[in-house]
Amino acid sequence: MTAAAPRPTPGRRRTRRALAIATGLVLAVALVNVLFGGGLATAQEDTGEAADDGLLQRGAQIFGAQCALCHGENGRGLPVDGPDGGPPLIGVGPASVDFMIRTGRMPLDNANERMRHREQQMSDQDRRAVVAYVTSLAPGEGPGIPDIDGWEEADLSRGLELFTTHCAACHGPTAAGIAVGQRDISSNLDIATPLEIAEAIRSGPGVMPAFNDEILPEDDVEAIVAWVRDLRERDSPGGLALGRSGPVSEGFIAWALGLGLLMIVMYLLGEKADEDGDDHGRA
Amino acid sequence: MTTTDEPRHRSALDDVARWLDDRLRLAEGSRRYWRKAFPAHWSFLIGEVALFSLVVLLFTGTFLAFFYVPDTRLVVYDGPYVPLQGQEISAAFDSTLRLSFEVRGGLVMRQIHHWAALVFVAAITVHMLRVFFTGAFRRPRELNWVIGVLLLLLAFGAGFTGYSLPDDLLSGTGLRIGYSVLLGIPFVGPLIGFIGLGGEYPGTDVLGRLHILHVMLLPAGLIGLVTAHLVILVRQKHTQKPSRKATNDNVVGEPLFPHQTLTSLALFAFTIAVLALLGGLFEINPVWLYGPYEPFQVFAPAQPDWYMGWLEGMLRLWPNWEFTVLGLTIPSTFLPGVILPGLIFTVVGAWPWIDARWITKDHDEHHLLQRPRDVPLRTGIGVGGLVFLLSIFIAGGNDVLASNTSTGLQTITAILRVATIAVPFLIGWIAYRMARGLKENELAVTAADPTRTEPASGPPR
Amino acid sequence: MAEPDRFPPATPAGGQTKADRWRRQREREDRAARWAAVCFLVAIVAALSLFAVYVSGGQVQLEGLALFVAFAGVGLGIAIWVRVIVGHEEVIEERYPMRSDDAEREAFEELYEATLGEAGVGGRRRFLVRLLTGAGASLGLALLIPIRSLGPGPENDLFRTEWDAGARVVDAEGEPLRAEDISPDQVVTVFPEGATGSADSQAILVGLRTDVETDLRQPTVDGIVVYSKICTHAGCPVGLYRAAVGELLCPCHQSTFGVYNGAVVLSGPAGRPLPQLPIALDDDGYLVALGDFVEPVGPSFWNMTRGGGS
Repeated sequence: MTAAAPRPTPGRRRTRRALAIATGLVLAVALVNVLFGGGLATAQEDTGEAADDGLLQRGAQIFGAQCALCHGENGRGLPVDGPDGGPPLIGVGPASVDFMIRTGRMPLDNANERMRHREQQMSDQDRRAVVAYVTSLAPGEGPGIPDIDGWEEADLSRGLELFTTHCAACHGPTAAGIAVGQRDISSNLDIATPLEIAEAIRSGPGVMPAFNDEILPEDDVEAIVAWVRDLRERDSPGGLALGRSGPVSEGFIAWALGLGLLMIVMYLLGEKADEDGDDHGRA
Repeated sequence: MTTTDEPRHRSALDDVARWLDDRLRLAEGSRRYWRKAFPAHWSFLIGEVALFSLVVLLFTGTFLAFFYVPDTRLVVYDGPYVPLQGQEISAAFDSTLRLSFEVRGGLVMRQIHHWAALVFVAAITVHMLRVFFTGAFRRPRELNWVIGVLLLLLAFGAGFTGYSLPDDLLSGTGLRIGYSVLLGIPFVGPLIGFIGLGGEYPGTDVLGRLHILHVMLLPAGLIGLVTAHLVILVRQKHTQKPSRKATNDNVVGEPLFPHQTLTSLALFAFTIAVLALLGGLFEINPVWLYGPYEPFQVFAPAQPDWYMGWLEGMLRLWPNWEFTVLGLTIPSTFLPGVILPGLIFTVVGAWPWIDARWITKDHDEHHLLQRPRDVPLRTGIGVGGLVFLLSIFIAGGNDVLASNTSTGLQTITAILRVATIAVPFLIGWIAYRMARGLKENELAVTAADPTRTEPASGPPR
Repeated sequence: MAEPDRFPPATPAGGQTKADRWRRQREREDRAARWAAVCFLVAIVAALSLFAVYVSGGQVQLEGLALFVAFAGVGLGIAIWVRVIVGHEEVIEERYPMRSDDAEREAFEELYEATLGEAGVGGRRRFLVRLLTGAGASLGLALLIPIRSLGPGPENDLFRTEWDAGARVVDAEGEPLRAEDISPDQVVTVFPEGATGSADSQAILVGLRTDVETDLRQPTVDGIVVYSKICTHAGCPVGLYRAAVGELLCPCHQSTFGVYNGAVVLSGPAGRPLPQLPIALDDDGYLVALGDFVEPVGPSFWNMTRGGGS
């Protein structure tokens, strides 16, 4: 507060104190969230093993309410070509279930909807419960939730190399996503969190192939995550990046802005003669 | 020589001019061309933009060539760009990165060069369309039309070789496709491919050879043909729009000095300005994100620069027709990749003769421009052809289109296949009808108005 | 040619209005001259700042902007100069038909005929011209021959890759692969051992699901198939695997190959399936090739079906 500021009146002082308390509360809640919410999330990523009965029960309950309609009782699946059909989930592994729920792709509101990336549709606690439950259907099978805590220290150069070898064919050189078939568009990885990227690599959601740890050991996954995250943060030294969509947008700019501007210049410089040829533009 | 009334301050320039005239007898020729008439309609300036872009390309290209290393031998990258540090990359890619990150002013030069190439071909295209739809290619200018078509071909060649030089993943993919199309030519394809690369793909000599093509042979051809283009232009004088003053026997325009000289200078400055604006503010071809070329890596979307888009699109649209007759295989790339472009360029190159023989049936000399409506059939064919090229051009980005419109990739391709066949006829027909309608409407009016000296309906016999 | 009529005649024929108009025109031109001067000054400042940007380490956007301002300033200044101060002027040139007039043409033709005799190649000695033409053509052909030195002939190269019987299947880093390393829906780019990164030997290994029927031209090993990774259309690496539907898609022109059906073309412009590599397991459990691909890999070419020379 500067010296020039008017002396606060008592009434104002009261509102100010209330405001301060409110702000403090919000901050405290946020802090708790950060400390415990985030901490809890990371601490319990290894859902596979240590799932207590309470969690399993809760998971079974949610599964029955929100998943079983398509994925069948106990995740046995329903014929995919039938109405409300869904693939079996026995043995898909924690990574797949966690990814699907975490990215809001599942549960769907109705069976005809297409999976898409959105807000997570249930609480973190519920997600962990469902993951634990589905995992318990076939313990030890399918890819587990990868541990990529070291991604920030991973080798970028290796990440770029691995990304171009394994990922760029579908996701594009800048991970922007592109049509990869009649109904499928590869995800733009801009919005993907490190854990989501790693889970997708392991579980291969949608039409994506899976990469097990023989093909891509944990270090390699971390390197890929590091490069994808770096891509997002990386400045464009050349100027506006035009969505980094390559020659298509470059050609558009060359015509619209390059030749477009020059056409305007030409129009102003030259004669805009009518039939008689004596209307002399700016002159 | 100077006969101005007011004495002008004598400058060193006068001395130089006199010195040169003492030796080269320049005064007479200079006097003849000093006030040469330039019809000043703005659309006549498009060709100049192409010329000025070429000048920018030559200058920026020279700068780049001082740093570029046309060598596929591997080096370990140790420059400032972290994501590639320690990787084994070709010396060519290494030098491209050095240009981009270490040479001061290098990146802006690279970007201006690339943008100038895109604008260069765009300006040629628009210039060509102007010449086409105004009938400026008619006798006596057939030769300059053909030179123009050859210039466009050379521009394609220069663009494609330039796109291939950085040896990043995108440029290598483009080269791979070009090589495969060549390989598919019956009888000689494999030989041409092997001779071109110095062995089996990817070869070791290809960058050096593309480099020589890109910095020596193609620019020499471009400069030579541009010179011929301009000499012929001066010799034949400009075409002009018909008016009360402008007839088939004169040229009405602004004098070379000072008007045209200053106008061209201004346009030159603006061309550089716009290219610098693009080069400074818009990132183009960020090869450092694509990474070095490895024959087994690829990414989608992989597009060529825009002017190759129609060729790429044709490859994407063409059905998978592949025949083997008596042990002779015609690969599915041969028709869309070799025959069709060859056919298109032949028709375009031969257009002045096609036009005279079958469309206007007019073999006389013309210096007055037509309007699209004056020759409806030509206009219809031109518009149809343009729509065809546009359609296959769009097909070159079918994956980008599918992503941005959330339409199925195969659906888009199927739609474009039909559109490429049907829409050109439809739009061409509409253009033809419109031109005819305009012409017929006008005939009634112009019958009473003798200003239009150019007969719209055939030559006087 | 006429002098520019920028200045009206000094005699005030039109009276005061004409003088007024003249003065107004002068003012207009003076104003334009000031604006042009401002433009040029801006250009000078921009050019100097370009210098400053460069000296202080360079920055792409500033360099581009400075160049833009400098040249746009020059362009705008000249444009104002030519359009307002110089103004419009019209010159009319005469034009003649391009063809030389008849007299000129005939005169030259006569001269040509006359001097042709002097060259002494008419009549009996016509053969001299023909032989010289022949010599020129032969020499031209002879001079074309060095082009052949640019590269070897294709010989057998297009029919062969580095794959050989017993060659271990390794990934892009040269690590040999075992069958148990591969789970369903895995996809790995592989090479014959010792030829990692080889352009013509690149292949794509796919782990098949066990519950899908297959129709393959070579047997699988533990649900593993290996196809050439070079598209049979235009040679791009077929790097895109749609695991859920078992389709390999080439990102360049979208040819789609069915992995469970021997890589037949499902859609797109490719004319033939991807060749499949015959594989087996060696005694240590590593994947090995049983031989080379049985047909040429990569884009088709004219004598593809005739087989290699040897």
